[in-house]
Amino acid sequence: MSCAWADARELAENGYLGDLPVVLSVTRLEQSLADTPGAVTIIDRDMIRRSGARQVAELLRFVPGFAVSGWNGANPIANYHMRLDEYGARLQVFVDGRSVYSSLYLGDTHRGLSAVNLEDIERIEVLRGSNSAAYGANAYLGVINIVTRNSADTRGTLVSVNAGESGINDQTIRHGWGNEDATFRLSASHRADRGFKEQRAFPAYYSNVNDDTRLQQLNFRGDMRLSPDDDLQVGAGMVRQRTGEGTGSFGNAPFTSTGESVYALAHWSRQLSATELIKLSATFDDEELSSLKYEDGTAVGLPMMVPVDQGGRSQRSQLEFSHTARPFDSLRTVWGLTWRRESAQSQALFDVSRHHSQIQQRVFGNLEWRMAPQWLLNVGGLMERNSVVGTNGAPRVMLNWQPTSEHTFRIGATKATRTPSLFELYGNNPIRHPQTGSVLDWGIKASGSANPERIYSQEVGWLGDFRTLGLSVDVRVFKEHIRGLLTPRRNEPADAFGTKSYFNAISSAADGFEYQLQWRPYQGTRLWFSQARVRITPDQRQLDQSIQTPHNSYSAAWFQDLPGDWEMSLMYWHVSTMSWRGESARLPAYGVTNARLARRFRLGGVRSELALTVQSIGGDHLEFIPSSPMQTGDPSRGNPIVPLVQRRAFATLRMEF
Amino acid sequence: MTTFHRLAVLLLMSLMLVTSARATVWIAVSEDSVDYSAVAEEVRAGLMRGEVQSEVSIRPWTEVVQGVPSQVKLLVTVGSPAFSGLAEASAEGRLGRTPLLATLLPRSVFEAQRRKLTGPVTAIVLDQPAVRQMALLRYAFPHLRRVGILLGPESRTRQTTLERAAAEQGLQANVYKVDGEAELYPALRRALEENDLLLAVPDAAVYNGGTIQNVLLASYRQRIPVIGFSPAYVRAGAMLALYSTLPQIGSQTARAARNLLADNPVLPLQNPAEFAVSANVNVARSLGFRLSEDALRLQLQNREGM
Repeated sequence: MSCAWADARELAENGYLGDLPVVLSVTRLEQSLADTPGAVTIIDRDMIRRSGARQVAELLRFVPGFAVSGWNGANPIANYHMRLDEYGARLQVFVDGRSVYSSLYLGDTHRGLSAVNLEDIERIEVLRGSNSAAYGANAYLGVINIVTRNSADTRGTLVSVNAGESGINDQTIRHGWGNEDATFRLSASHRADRGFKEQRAFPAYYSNVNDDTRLQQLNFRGDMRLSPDDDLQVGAGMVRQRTGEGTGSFGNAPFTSTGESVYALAHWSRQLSATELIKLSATFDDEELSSLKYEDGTAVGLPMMVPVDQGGRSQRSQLEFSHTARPFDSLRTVWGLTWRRESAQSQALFDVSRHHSQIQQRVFGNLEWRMAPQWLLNVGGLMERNSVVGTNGAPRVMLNWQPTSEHTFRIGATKATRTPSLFELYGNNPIRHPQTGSVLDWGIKASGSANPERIYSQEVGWLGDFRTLGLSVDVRVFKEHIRGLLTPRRNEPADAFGTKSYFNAISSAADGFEYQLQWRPYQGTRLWFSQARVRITPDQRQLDQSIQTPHNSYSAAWFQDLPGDWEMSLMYWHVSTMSWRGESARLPAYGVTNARLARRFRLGGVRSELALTVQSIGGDHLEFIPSSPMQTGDPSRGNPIVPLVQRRAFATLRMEF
Repeated sequence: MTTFHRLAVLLLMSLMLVTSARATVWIAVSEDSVDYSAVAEEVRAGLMRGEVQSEVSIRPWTEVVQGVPSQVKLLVTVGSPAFSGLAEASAEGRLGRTPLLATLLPRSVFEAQRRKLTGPVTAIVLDQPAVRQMALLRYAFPHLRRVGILLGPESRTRQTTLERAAAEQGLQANVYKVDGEAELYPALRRALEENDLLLAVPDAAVYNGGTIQNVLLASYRQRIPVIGFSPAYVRAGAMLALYSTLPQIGSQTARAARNLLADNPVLPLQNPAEFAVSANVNVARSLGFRLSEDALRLQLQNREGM
């Protein structure tokens, strides 16, 4: 009794006099935007909620230089500075440090990107510009780093529902629990909509495109403190995605594609001392895709529908070790080793029943040297040995000069690479007669000549951070040289089917500038503007005009708190003439407006929000291919069908307790 | 009694006469720790420099509560265990009406026990005045307005003072009450969601060795600067702290003791007059802030006309 009393009395000034453990050691701290070797756009939780977005791709419209579309409503895609890539294969997308590209086809990131529950996201960091030196191959044009919320911050229960036009029907339920040393979260969600509507040219009518989405996912995250110096983060999940494909026009029969994937990850970090941290990570991904498509056999002289199984299975495992140290106040070092194995098995894509695989081994490092209080030099690099294509390096150097706390100037150069996917290396997809097995048609027959794509990029940037005005400005002026972009070209000598293989055929250059402005003039007002102007210069020797990036694109957003716990959002973006599929499919310029009105309220102990979101207020519009049948490519294909993004409204109810 | 003994008694009596001409000060320290002794020594050194010559004796408080001779003109307690112990003894009538100067203790401890004292009492508390804290926030983060404050049972009484001080500096203080450990994390989550800054106010139920790690990590994840009240907070990962050092508290205590001995008027409850500002430059930089300890301290000193 007397002892407890003495303890209580000692505690009184212990707060002032006692020592505390070092919690935020220098090696655990993140680089500020002013110290980052490159341009970064951060989309935070508040913006995600206020945007009314239902998936990540929609949010990337706010990022300068990004174009967002989808060949149909079930396959949203986002790409940076380059359009000849419907799969986002040249972006590195991480979710909690796990790379989410598909090993099955071209390295698609679009499925991985759409299989993240927005409610779980803390923030999305978009590193604009090549960054293989820090993030490995695939960080060819940029990096999208999605950080989910720490489970310590999501204790309690959340229920969220979207319902509205175009079959929008989403539900999320999440529960978080734990104590001071370990917290966990389980979230289950379902997302569904009917995608775009279609416009047929002859006869002109509208109906639904076969592009419904049904996505179910279950995600688990745990954060544990094993000791004052040891932290463990674990995660696991499964996604089931059913998407409609095929427009129903000749040679493009409607079918349903089903993807099932599971993942697991663990990141363990140990603080060795106040200035030294080691981290060990393991991730595992397994994806199974099944889609049975019926090709019209008359195209190859067969009076029947020919079933083509486009499915397959891929697996990827990765182990990584990294060591971060701060040997001196002015120097921070990171180095590490990565081992990754990926394999893919698909009768349709490789024409063999066995799997193909490749192993990547990497060593990477970065030195962050503060030469003087105003000068910061980042020198980094990565060497990657690939079991198929050999060894490649990706160096990067960036100098940041911060003459005052309000201004940072950056100048730097980097080389990045993209390793060919297993399909680009081994792809072989003959369409065979269902009974005899004889080849009817043959698209890709890889010659094995695919080499890594390279990009050389130089940039100058300015970050203006005017805290007292609530204004921040980020400008990036860039020059990018793409060398050896992989593209299908006829095999030589030509065979009977005119098969193609992936060759490092295209080179081009891009230059331009982009900027973003964020302004909070008052508490409760948030303005956002971003713009990119990009000029592509194709290599004259190849006369390849297919890279059609929009010359000018911009987005604007106004998020406003209103009296009485109301909130309003107005968003607009504009994309100038561009083409996702070659010169002949030139898409006219378009602008889209979205709006959202919400009210936050309390129902007893339940924090609630009711919102109405209207997308594409101005009406239906085109986002992928043009409406004129003469411009959709091959008029002989008959009845061109054009997917239209339609105006749609939906309501959201969100409750947290 | 031998002549020798008589001489010895005479000598002793004359010595006592001399010493009673000099004021006798007893410093009761809470325990044998470096912090308490440092302040006690600082007070002793300060008193030695004073105009009134004093006899200073540093003793454990457990010894002082046994009884205080009448020639002791002032009792100084260093730390709250010493103060609480002496307050109990005073309530039991063991200290008479000897004036008491309490130092190095939180205001809440002082206010809870002061009524037990039978004699005149003065205190120098560890708590920084709310207006100074709010002014620091305004200087350090001129663009941020909303200040989240978690208050437990000990610090609950400070709510009005903090809110008023915030308003005076053009800030908005949002107070979240925490009654038990189960309420801490929900309250912290709300505070981090609804504010730009988190001001830590001493309260063992909210901020202690067991909670500080989670508070700092959660705040850092939400990119909210934490303002602590000791240099240890800044070392641990708070962005900024306002506090008074042990020598600063010691010399202020010595000044107050000298004034008390000279019968000069002394405020019965004093905030720390001198103070220090510490910043964790790395945490600040990581969250995009640039803070200068010296510039902030000077701004605060100018504001107070120092």
